[in-house]
Amino acid sequence: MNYDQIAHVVKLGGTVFFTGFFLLVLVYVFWPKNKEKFNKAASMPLDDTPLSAPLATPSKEYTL
Amino acid sequence: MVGKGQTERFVSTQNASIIKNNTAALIPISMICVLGFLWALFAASQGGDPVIAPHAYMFMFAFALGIFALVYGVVEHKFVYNPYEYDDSVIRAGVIATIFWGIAGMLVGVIIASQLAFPNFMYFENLPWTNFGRLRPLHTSGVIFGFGGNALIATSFYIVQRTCRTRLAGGLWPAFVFWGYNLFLVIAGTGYLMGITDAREYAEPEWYADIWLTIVWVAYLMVFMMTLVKRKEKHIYVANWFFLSFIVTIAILHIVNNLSMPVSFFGAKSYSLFSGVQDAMTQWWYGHNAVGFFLTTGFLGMMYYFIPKRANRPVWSYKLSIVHFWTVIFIYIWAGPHHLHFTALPQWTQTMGMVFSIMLWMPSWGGMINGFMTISGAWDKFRTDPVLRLLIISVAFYGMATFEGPLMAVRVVNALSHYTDWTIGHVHAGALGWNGMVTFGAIYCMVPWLWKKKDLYSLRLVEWHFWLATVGIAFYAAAMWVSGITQGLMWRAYTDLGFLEYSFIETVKAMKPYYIIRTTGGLLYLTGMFVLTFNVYMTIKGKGDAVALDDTPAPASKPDPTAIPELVAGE
Repeated sequence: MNYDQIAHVVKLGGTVFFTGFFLLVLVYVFWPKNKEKFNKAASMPLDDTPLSAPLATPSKEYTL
Repeated sequence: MVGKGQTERFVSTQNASIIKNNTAALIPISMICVLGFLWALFAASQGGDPVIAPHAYMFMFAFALGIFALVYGVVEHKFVYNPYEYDDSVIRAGVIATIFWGIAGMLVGVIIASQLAFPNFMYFENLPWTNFGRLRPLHTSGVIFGFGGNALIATSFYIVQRTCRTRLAGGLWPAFVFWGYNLFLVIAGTGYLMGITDAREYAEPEWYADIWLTIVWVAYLMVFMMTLVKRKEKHIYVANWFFLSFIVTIAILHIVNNLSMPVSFFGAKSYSLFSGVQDAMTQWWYGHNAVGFFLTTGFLGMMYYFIPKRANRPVWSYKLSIVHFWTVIFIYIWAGPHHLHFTALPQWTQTMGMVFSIMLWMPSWGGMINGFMTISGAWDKFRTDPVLRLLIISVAFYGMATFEGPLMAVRVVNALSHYTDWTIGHVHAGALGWNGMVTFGAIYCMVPWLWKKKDLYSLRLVEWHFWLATVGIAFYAAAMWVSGITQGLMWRAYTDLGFLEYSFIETVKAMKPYYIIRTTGGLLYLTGMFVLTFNVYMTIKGKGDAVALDDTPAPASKPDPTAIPELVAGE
């Protein structure tokens, strides 16, 4: 493969990959099932509950 | 105003009995210190060149100190912690280091700005380290990696713990990251003054400092990732995605750009593995993505946490923040070739760099709008809270700099702007306006929360800082725009006979008034930094409004008179 062939594949492949990935991101973002999750996530910085407070939903205990 | 995020002060009393030992990282960290000490010992005695010796002694001193600290900590039982408390000690140290490097870097900036206007200012012929060429990388690294880097490490550790609702992973490793990173900064900074450089812009430290930074950075990545792994919140908040992209990409950029062959294993000098245009492209792939992933995505992590937090409003559009993240990281990585317009780089590569730079308008402005709109419904705070105003003005500068950058990346505009002061003006609008202001905002938010105070010592001083910094940037950017365009036009001016109209020295002389204005702007900005330092010091001391918060939990029934009323749907 010479330089021009590699450059051609890279340019074409890059464009297809980039556009495809962008569309996937949009699908993920606008997927109706994710709406609830994103609405909750938008308020994550506002959560001030101390570290020791029990979570609303039980989660497994981690150790270092 | 009572800062949010302070409720964790109640934790220590509730869980006083749960104390854990923190020694898992002891063996690998002591191994690193011992091996590092041995290398430094050999370099000091067998030194491949005379300039390595001071650095070898500094490494020896630092590693000996590290081993001493580890032994002391074990003997005195200092390495115990409460797993139900956030690990904030390393963040407090990070805030102080941020301020220290900020003052140092900006002070050197003002000195070299003065040297451009008055070449003999603070320059002494028999002291080669007072030369502009050696002080300039000290300024750039001091502010980008010293001020910015410490701010990024501190805020990323702060935010990842709060949004994952878990303590930092790795026990002693976060402290290793902080001290190791600052050791790198000292080695880098003193190296520039001694004349040690591998001549790669924003990556000047030589191979041994680069290897040390790689070790520290891998530890940073592991601490951050393991904290994400043990998170108690299912969703990874968008700020953490931004921080993760910053840490991962900087690791890749740093390693690839610094691939080089040392002349001697115990000497300072090395040669790059790349040559010619590949070398230039590697350097600017690194250089532009240092802007993209160090100064942009890392600081966007701060924006997406501190603006909602300070305004007490949710992120305006979380969907937009996700699109912002993926498009910024995918587009930014290709924009580097715009630094090499009209060079030996293939034309299509230059064009690609230009096109991707223009595409960056979309995610950048999407992110800017997201930052602005997050305070919609709380616009009054823009007037009443100078800390929030610092954060918002930083987003305005983010928008301005990310508009200007793509414009300058267009080849015909670049023909005028390249190598002129316009570039310097653009960089400083971004660095002072976006990175500086968002960091100041984050520091003003975090200091009362970290040191458990009711509020800052004085919000009036924040007001002063805001105006000093804003006016400083206005002086700086305006002077550099005029200076840059003047330079560009003078360089390309031809006479009727086809000769260049101006000699180079004439263009330099024309710059003098603008250089004086620029120095004034920098001086104002530095003064603001001193105001911040005083305010932070007094807050830590608990003076003024910085009343210490006691450790007893407030009765749940007593309403907080300063609390913001609950948000009503549709508000």
